[in-house]
Amino acid sequence: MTYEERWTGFEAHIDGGGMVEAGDWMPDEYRAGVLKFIEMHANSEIMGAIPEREQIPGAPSLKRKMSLTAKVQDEVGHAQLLYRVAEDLGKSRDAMYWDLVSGKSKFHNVFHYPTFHWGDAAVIGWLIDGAALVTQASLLESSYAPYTRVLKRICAEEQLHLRHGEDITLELASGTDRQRAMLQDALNRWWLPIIHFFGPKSNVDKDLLLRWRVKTRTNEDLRAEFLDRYVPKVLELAFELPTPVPFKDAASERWVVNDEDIDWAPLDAIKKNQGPETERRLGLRRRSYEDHRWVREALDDQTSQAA
Amino acid sequence: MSDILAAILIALADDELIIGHRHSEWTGFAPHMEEDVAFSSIAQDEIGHASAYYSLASTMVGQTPDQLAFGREPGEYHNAVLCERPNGDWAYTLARHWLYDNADALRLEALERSSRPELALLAAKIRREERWHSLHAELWVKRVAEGSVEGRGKLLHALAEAFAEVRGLFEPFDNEERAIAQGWLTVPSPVLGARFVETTTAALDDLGLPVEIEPGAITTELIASSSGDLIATDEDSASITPAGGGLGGRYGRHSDDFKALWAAMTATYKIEPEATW
Repeated sequence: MTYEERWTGFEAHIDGGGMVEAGDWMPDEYRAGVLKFIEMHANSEIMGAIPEREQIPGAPSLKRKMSLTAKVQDEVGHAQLLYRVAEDLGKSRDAMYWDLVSGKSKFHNVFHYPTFHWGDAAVIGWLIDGAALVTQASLLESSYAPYTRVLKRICAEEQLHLRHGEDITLELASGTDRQRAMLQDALNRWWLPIIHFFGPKSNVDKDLLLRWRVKTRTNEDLRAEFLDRYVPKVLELAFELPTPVPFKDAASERWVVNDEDIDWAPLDAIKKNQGPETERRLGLRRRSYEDHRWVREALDDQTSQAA
Repeated sequence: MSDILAAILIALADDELIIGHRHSEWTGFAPHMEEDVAFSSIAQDEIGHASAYYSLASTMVGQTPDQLAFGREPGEYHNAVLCERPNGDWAYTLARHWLYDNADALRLEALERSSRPELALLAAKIRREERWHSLHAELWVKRVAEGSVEGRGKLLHALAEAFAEVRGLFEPFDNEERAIAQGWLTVPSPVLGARFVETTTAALDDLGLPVEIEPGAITTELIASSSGDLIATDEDSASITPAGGGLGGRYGRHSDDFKALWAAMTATYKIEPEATW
């Protein structure tokens, strides 16, 4: 069979709702695309641990201190699972990690921003996890089977995280003026990055990942679902949302934002790894990675001895 | 009398809270992903143990566990200085983890025989979890000891550094002898300290990690204070480290490292101490 025939067969398989396993034949473009996508997801889990871990030392109660530690622990666990799935597509975890810390590969925009106080723990745990869950739930239908299997576990844990985030949020929302002000301050800073999180409008004709059902829904579709689900909740708690200010569309009766109200410049900078916290956080990881080479070697020795 | 017991429970809790706080600073940042996950579990366990000790004390002193954990002034925390030291690199973290969990195991074994049933029960429960922590520390120390020259060198250096302050863990509690007379505590802290030196030096010898321990580093002579309490002498502390050989924590004397930790740990709580979070 020629490459072209195989390609045609592969597309027919995908179009018929077929799944792809790591050992199956797949076009190089599919392999590269899926690898890059899952690698970015894994990178985002490990980099997403940083803004949240910044709030562990100041967690305001014993219960919160434990639960936030547990949550960040889960995120690292997710990274571990996802890197394993990505590895099977032909790139070692070490290579992926090095590409991440040296700024060669990417991670989600929201993890390029600083945190300042406990209000950030609330917004990250509620709205950013909420946004991530909308995206991840859509990927449960992805054509790459190994990815969907780990996503099942990840989504189950993310549901618990969401409850944890909601709980922190409700506590602040029903608290004192200062507690509410913390939450409002965090909402003001995170709102635009959350809108960006879903990405610019998808180019359906050119996006191979959509065509091959690696991604199942467009960016704008996922953003619309998020807005419709979360905007009413934020407003119900009597908080305000900054530009792009959401409104209820008269025709569809759904909560939306105007595309022209979205300033994409900050996302463009982040795509070049030039976000507010990008270099500092990558630098921290890079130095830690270099300083602890001996630890990895100690572990590898052990593994090779066992083998 | 119950305030004597409460103070001891709070000191035990402080050790666990502060070491747990330090451990959790590795969360999301450990040198290895698998280890990140494992060490985060240990951090949560330690904070959970602190919470349990504070809960026992809380009814005696009329404060909530969170008030005890976050609402005191630095000089009111009675954790050992060793617990408050920054994590440094993985070698120091590992050395302290190993020493602390060995010390805690001996302490818990003694507390399991406490005449206060609620304390004896709690100690037994904590000891079951701590057994896993000890295994974890053991495995790592062994792994590094048998590994590269570089790692081994770092570990040796870190063990010496941590060992120099370890006796702060065996500094007698306030009114310890009265707690012993009541059977609340069953073994004097310095006696536990001597056992600790014996077992840990033997274990390190077996691993081929000859850590030089300053004479008297742990088995300090005890003198009776005017109130009749046994207190450890710290005449030779200056010869161990400038910070005082790790002593003083049980009486609220802490390093600047603690003040920084305390400021970070209580920052949010102090915004609205009366609020729920």
